Amino acid sequence: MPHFVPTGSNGSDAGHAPTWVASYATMVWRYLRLLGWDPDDAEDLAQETLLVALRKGMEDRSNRQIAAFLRQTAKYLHLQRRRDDGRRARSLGRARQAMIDRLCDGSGATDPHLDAVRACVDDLSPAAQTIVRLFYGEGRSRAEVAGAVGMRENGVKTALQRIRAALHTCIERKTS
Amino acid sequence: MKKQPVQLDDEALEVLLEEACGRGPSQDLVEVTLERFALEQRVHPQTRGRPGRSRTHWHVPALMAFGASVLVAVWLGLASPFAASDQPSTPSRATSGEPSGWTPLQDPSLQDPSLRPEQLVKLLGDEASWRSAAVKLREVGAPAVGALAAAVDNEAASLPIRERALGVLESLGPAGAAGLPAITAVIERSDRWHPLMIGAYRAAATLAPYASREAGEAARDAIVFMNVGKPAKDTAGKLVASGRNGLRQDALGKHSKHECIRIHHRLEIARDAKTEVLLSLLTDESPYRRELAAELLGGRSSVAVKEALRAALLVEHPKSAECDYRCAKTGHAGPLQLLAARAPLDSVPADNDDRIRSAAARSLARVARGEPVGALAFVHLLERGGPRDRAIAVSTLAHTEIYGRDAAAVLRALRPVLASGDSPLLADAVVALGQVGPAEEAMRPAVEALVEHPDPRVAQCAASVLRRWSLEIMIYPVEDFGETGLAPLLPWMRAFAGSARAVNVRGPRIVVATDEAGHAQVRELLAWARTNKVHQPLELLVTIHELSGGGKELLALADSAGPVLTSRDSVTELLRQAQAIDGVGLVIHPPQRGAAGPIAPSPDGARLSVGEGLGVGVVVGATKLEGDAFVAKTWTPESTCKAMKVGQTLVVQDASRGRLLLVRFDEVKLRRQPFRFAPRVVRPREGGKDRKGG
Repeated sequence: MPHFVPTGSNGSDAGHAPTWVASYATMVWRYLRLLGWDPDDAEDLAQETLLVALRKGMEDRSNRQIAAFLRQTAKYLHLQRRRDDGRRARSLGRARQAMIDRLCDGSGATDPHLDAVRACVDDLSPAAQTIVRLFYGEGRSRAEVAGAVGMRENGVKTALQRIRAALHTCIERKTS
Repeated sequence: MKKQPVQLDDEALEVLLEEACGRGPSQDLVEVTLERFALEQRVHPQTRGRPGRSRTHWHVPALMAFGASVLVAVWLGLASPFAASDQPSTPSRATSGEPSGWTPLQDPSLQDPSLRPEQLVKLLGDEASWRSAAVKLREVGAPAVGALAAAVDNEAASLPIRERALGVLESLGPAGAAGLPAITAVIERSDRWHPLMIGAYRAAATLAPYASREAGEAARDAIVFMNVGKPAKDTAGKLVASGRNGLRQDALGKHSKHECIRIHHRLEIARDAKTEVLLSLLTDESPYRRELAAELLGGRSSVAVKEALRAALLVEHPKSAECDYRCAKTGHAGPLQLLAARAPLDSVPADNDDRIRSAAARSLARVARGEPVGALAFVHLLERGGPRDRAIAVSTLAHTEIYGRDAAAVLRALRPVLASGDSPLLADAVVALGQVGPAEEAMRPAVEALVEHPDPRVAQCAASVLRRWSLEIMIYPVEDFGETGLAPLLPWMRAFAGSARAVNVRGPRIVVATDEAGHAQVRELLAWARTNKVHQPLELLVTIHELSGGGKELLALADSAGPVLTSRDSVTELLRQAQAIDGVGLVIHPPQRGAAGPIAPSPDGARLSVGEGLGVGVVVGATKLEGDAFVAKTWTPESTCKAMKVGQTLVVQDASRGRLLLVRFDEVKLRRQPFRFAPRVVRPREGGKDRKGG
């Protein structure tokens, strides 16, 4: 689909859509998800964040600077949206904020943690993989998952707790 | 320098898991963003390099989570309660030349996914296929906004293309808000008698509340200047100028007046208005302000918003509005002139009450799905929506705990579903009836008939609901239990009550479903719950027989034996039968002591302590001893609590390791608490002097 070509004097290449947008869109979306937004709202805010960056012009910045700018803008829009909605922004501890920043410090195209999560999910037993796929992949409720795999709802809950614990260990091992 | 690994918490892990399982951002995130930026550059080039508020685009999947077909139906002119533009005399449809009640042409050539929006927009000028193209553009949604806006703004394009593109843009609703600047540009540039003008006014009024404040104000200013700055030389304009309030309503049809007031009121309110303001507008005198407030509250999810939207579904709304002084004097009367002079609209008043309810239902369903407070929204959806909406509504109601206050409405809505025999919906409808509780007698024969339904799921659900209705629901408030104190007891209470009784906990209340014969047992249950509110771990002496190998046959044997073996003979019999299965091995572990029991109460009651000293992997949770009876639960998550006595054997199926454990409780007693020294108390000497000072 041909895009309208952004033209301007702030560093964009006439005739080509900015290529960095595709590289960082997933990272911005993930950052907003980690800040607590649901997928649709995160996508909405990610669009706003990318638009702000497009207006600014990012072509003369390094990858690291672009990522930092996007994180900062996304965080600002997150706080602003919370305020507009009349809700207090959930205060994140310094350690959690640092963790979120670390998880979103690259372009997002090849994220080692995401790769580790994928590899660790592949290492799970088939039954556990089914539960993960239904609960996290298809967004079904615990009751629905329980019905699908023939377990009780509490059983699914416990199984998910165990799966998360196993994944924590596995991810730590793979990323260290 | 090597980076330290990041310590993920559970929340972050869940986000990554969802992404790893394919629930990442939608494919069109980048595409839509670039479209928006390009459109912005084309309409307002000065925004480049200038920080400021951007227009906000509502993401399509969020908006259309349960209403895609409804919105398509709006554009098609089919009956739907969930759109502001589905009234019988909407000018946009009238001006775009659509015959009423037309149905879409399923043109196979337009089903090609590689068709670009620009190509589809061009097809809007083709008399043979423009309807199919419009439907397809409507399905494409936000990615088509750029092409549609360009067509509307293109003076070189033919008038039918521009009119039809405007109609599609308006029907997109929030998703089309990015096209508002193009519509504003048309209003600014064109003469007031331009054929596009009425459609442009209406589309601007529809989209303005969803655009940014700047874009909304620009649209409003364009309409004001159009009417104030350009003198009205026509008859209607003279009437307007000479009228006492600047508006001669008596010279116009009722519907024209309402359209004008609606446009005015929709342009007043911005999307980012505060929630308090929107809540107050929900009870405003103007039905159009109420409608818009109900629409905009769909993005807010506080308890007050949900209750207010629910209330909006119940109250009666005003049917008409008056153009107040501000409305008459700010120049918004302009559309009125145009509507009166050019569009021969009928005088059928719009059903504002229904529009407000529909907007409230749509918003409430969005913010309170699966919550009791949202039940009425799905009732509305069920009664007024299309087939897909009805399926969503019934499925959601089946998973919603419905309060008594909305039960009657739910029953009323479900009755036609049961009567229709719509098989895909029946099972969920019956489950939803079960959620409502004992129904009126009129519903019973219909459900009884469904017990014989050929679909086994429907039959099973119907039987379950009938069984549930035959029981009496008794609610016992237990004041001396906190919520966290009562919830951990639930599995144990269920075990004590037996499988025939349904026991549940809601806050500080015990809910028991029982028949008349079970009242005495319920009293015993309550007494048991009170005496056992403090859990005490038990010391156990157990003997474990471990059977392994044999696979499914062994597990089938365990199923036939039941969860508890009451005598040694039955254990012997089970072992004898297991011996006959090929490949089964038996290991008898020596008697071992251990301790087990619920630890600190958890709200869900699911957490049990790990038994100490039970070496073969069997962990048994236990609660306070009652004579020689106690309640035990195995470590396997799917197992339930079993009421047992000393000397009995618990059958534990460990399917993950392909083994069967027979745990015989030889001795059970209350665990002695370890003796602790009291902390030493050091008192100061009399007179306040310490030893040294003395």
